[in-house]
Amino acid sequence: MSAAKRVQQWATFARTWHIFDCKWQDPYQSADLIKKYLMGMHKPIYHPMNDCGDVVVCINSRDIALRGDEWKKRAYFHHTGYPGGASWTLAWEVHNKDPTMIIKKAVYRSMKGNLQRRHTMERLLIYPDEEVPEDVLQNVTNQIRQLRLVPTRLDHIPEDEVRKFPKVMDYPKDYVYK
Amino acid sequence: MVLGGILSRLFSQDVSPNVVKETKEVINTCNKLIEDRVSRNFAIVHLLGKQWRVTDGDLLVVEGHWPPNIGDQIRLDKVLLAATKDFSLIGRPLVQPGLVNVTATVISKGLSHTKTHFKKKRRKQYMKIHFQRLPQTMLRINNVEITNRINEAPKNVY
Amino acid sequence: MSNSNLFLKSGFVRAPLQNGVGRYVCQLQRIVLKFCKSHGGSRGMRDFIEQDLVDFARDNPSVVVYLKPRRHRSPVVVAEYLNGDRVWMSMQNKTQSEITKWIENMRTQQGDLSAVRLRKYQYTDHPSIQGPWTPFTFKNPELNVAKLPNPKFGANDRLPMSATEQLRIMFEKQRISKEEVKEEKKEE
Repeated sequence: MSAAKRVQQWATFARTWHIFDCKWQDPYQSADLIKKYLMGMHKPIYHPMNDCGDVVVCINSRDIALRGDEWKKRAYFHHTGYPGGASWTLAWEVHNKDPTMIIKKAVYRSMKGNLQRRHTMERLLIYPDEEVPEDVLQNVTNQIRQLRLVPTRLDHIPEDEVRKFPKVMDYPKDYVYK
Repeated sequence: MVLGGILSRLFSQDVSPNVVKETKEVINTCNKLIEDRVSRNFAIVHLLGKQWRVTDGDLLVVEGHWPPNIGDQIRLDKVLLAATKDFSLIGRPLVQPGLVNVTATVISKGLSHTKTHFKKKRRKQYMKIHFQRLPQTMLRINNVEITNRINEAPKNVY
Repeated sequence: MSNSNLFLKSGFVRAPLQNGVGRYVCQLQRIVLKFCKSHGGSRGMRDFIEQDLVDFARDNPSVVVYLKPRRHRSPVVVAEYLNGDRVWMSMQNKTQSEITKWIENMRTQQGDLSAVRLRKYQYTDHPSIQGPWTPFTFKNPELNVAKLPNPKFGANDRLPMSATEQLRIMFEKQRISKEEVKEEKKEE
């Protein structure tokens, strides 16, 4: 292969490091999105034999939002292999023990159960808060957009904007809120 | 369903004189590139129910019954997209009829290798093999060229 | 899955000597018809020779036609092509119309197409004109200097329009602009 072609192939198959903020996101919905980047399905050069998957760094996995009453009801199964080693752990217990487990399990479950799965999971890095090691952050070049809207709190918006925002009606000054 | 975020910021009308001037400049540049025939063109052509990406000098094998005979010169009309190195013309869904000219020659017509279609239902005494040789036509694409200027009435109107 | 016990060779689409780029050349070189003058299996072959062969030879001057009448031998057609392929086909007990169709098929082929399984149905010398895809092709160039994670690149921008946004747009539309106020003043 000529030098120019070698460089072009290196550019096309370059592995990108993506970062994804899991704050207030549904782990199972985000898992479907993340698995595409891990497998390389977002690239036109995708082929299962190609090893074209990217690295995804998930941050704020402690601030994940599960739907409804899943925190109380969803149970994760684990068997140690020994007799009597079956255990069902609830989502909140798992999260307290290890805040990265839920999203890791979600991504693992969303992928096909083939031999490539374990290898692809190695490319996923999960951190419970914003603290990411320096060398990992230096490699990151792209950010994956979140799926759910993270609303801004009213006290985080500057006061002038709140005052200027058009109102349909306003309570009189001596109104008593119950 | 109207999209938020992007569109709500763009709801002001986009026929301001700056935008119109810019569009005209872009069209003029594209027309100049078309006339100078700077680079190789490619087109996405719809043929026999499939879409193919086609340039000058490339070969295409098309499966199924197709009347054209060997040595025939054919013009492929259903062009969905035509592009050069610098710009692309995207059709909705087809590009303007006189704009892009894609010509091809039929090189060979024959039957494919024997394909075996194997069917079996287990434990139900049902097994059959269907041997099939499909007619295949090989085309050589001679030319993909953008013949007319953009945004003007085509010269070769039927 | 292994390739060692597959007998059918696989290959890509090819045309010999850039056929079709300049002029088109018919790839059939010669055709040999071997038949028996009296046996019943050659009946269709004999009918073909009597009726359709001369027209075939006249329509294709580039093809050499050989006839081999051989006693007690089954009818056979052997087609030889410019790329060296040799296609042998038995015409025993075939009707005249079937033989016509097979010979027409052999005329339009460019070699023995049944010997090769095509891996792809296209061939280009120029797979990329606008430049091959790289991960940076359709990326926002601001990402090059951005400090990630940044909510500007991370927040969702494709949500459906919320009720607040709709109200805000309705408000802006019905608002009286400064120019309209000025026009009213001028009229007065």
